[in-house]
Amino acid sequence: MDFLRDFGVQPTLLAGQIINFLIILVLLRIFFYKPISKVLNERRQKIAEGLKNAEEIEVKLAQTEEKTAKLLEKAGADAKEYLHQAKDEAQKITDAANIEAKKRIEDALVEAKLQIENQKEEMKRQLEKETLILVSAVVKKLLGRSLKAEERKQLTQKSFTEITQKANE
Amino acid sequence: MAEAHVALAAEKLFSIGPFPVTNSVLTTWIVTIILIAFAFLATKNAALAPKGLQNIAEIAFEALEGLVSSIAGDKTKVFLPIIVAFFFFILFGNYFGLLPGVGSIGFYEKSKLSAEVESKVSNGPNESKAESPDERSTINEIRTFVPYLRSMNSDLNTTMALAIVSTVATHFLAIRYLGLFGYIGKFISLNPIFLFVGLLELVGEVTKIFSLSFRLFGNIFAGEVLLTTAITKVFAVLAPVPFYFLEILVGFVQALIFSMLTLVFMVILTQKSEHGAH
Repeated sequence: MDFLRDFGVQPTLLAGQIINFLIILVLLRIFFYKPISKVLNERRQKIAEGLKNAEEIEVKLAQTEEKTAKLLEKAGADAKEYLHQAKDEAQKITDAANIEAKKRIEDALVEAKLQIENQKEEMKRQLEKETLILVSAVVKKLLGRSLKAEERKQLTQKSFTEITQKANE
Repeated sequence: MAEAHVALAAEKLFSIGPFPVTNSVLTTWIVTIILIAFAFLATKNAALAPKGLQNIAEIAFEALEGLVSSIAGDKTKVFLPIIVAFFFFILFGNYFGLLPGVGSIGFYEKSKLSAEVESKVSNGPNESKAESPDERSTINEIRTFVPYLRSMNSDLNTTMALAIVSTVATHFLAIRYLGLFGYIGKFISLNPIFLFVGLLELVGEVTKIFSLSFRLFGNIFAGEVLLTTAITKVFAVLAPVPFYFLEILVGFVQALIFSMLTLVFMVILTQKSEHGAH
């Protein structure tokens, strides 16, 4: 091992350098290896988590989209259904209103007819009465006496019939 | 002026007690401080969103981690801190040695060689008297240049220390993974053929220290010599630039080779031997 002396190898220097390197080994482990590997591991975990979350979010998004599509479809169907129902209802209401209106018109017609009939009747009576008064007056003037009840009735009836016939012509 | 050259051994600057401080030891300390400071600053405010130095540290770390895990597999967590320390220490040391001033700022010292020659001249009575004053004056001028800082891996002490730590750590991990008997069984076997192979492997473990240390030392020392030669003998401006690029590459490659060899040795030695059951 004499050749080592030519290279300046001395036990003290060798030992010194070994100790120095061991110190470096320990210090680098504390100040370099541990914090860096810790940070790197943390970051790896974070990234893995992030990717996992992103995947989950994507799945959820797909689910939500599916749900939305389903809901929209259902809403469309419902809307159609409601529209249909509403149309039916409207039809029913319209029909009912039409029937009601027809009925009312018919009722009004009947009433009007009745009224006209009544008026006619009234007029008839009025006419009878006036005719009777007129005839009585004429007979009184012509005969100088009042008509007997039997005559009055006959006359009135006769003239009324005539008038009615004339009026109907 | 004395010719600039790089001495094989690191020069002693001063001593702290019994411990001689050579220029490469001084460099090692500076590199250590820089390396630890870098590590500390890079991870001081380690955040999930990295900033500044942390980015660089993370890129380097991840690259190394990928490389190590591709070789070590599930043992990465145990091996990586050691490999990280080897790689960055050697890399920082190699690159620090390339900085201007390292190996070029220093002082002149009367070398042992000149002192020896001087004494020989003064003691040699057979020398002709006419030549001797001349010779003496030239000899007096032979001084060696001692740089304050010397690339740390161009000193065999440093690289051998690294190689010893690497080998000892490898064997330590082997015992940890295989148990003491499994570890011994790797080298000693009742089967004569495997016994012979085991003994060869034992020798190989010793030579590993030498191959690791001399490879790193040789490369970096050669680089120092190459750069010094290019600067002093060719031309100080522009001429050394390509060599600097070469040395940047060599500095990285040697750091990588040392740490990867350490890793491979660790992986091989911590594997259960296939003939262990025999």
